[in-house]
Amino acid sequence: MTITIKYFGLIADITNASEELFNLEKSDFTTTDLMQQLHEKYTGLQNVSFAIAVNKSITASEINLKNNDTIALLPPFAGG
Amino acid sequence: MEHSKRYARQMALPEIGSLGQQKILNAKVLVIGAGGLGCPVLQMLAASGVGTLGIVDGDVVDITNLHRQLLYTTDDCGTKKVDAAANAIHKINSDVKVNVYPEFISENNIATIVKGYEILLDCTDTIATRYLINDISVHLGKPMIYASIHKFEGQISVFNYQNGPTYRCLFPEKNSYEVPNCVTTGVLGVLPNTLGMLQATEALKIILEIGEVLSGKLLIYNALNLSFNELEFSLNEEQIHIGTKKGKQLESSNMQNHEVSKELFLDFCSNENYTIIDLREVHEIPKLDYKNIINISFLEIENHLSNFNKDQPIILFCQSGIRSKKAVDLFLENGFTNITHLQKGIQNVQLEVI
Repeated sequence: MTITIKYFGLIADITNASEELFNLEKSDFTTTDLMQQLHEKYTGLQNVSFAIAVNKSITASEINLKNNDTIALLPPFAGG
Repeated sequence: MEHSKRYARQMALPEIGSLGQQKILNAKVLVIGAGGLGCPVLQMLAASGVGTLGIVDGDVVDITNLHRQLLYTTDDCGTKKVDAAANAIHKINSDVKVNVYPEFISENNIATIVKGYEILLDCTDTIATRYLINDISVHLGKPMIYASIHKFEGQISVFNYQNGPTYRCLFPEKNSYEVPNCVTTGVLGVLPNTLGMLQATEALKIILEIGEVLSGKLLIYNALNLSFNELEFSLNEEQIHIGTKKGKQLESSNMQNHEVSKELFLDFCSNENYTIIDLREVHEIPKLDYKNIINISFLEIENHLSNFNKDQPIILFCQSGIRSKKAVDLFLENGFTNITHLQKGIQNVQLEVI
């Protein structure tokens, strides 16, 4: 399956991209699995607090991902 | 007559009309932070005719502010932001009553300052302050219009609107993360202005009770590709509970001794939301010349309690703080809930500013 990941704010600075496609061979894949992969890929993520949205809805619980899902990683901004 | 002319173009909208304009004129809005977000918010709300605007900021105008904070001019550098903002607003629309609080919002002053305002605008630049504003807004049941920026991106949402989701529901508090602000990352001048305009829009919609308020949704704007993303989030009971509890603590620590510091006292004297009662005898000096100060001798005060509402904000003072402290107890015994007195009395206040 293919999922799209959107990065915002400080997280886009760390990943150096605002959007990224992930092709996964597994069909059984959750948001927790994804976070594990992302933390391995981008070690800077461990210093950042962020909320996770699946298909535009922010969730605190683990969710099974499906083909064509869009996941957003959203940190709080501080500036004003 | 002059009113209807000044606001004619917005009153021409059937959703506003003269009734809506009256709602705007009656509104009391607190803007916390008079920087990149606060400036456009204040400009727009003042021009729209919001009756009372409170401005909280402890900073002075710096030349590095001027590329984005359009209330200020080169001549304002070095002066207090709240004073420069109040002057600028007076030129935009002298109908607006402006209350200034020349201090940074903190756990020591927030509960006292927000009372008397219906809507709180979070235009600050630190995460810790946003939690403070969230907690007091949840506890006191006031909507909080939030925005913040990072480089070319901005976020906006309305928290605690009609018991809707709050800042903590979106971002539960975690320890030890540092989030960069404009000083460290830089900022494009137009960006906070765009976000501030959206905040002002939400404030007017809440005042006018029109449209759909951005509650339970976070809008993320990216100036570089001109994209808007909207994410939904829902109410989290546990986070509401944390906010309510902390907000209550903020209020009780503010009010525990029912005391107002000398620094805050003079601000309140020029804030018409407060009734200030001078308990001294006629011969005692110095006299204070503010419209909202009334003189009722300590010996007479008991006979005048029925003249006041039990939830209206009242501040008492005397010469040294002894009579006013006794009078606070008297008001409390009679069911008054919003009563404070000037710590150590008027003799402790430097009056050369008057």
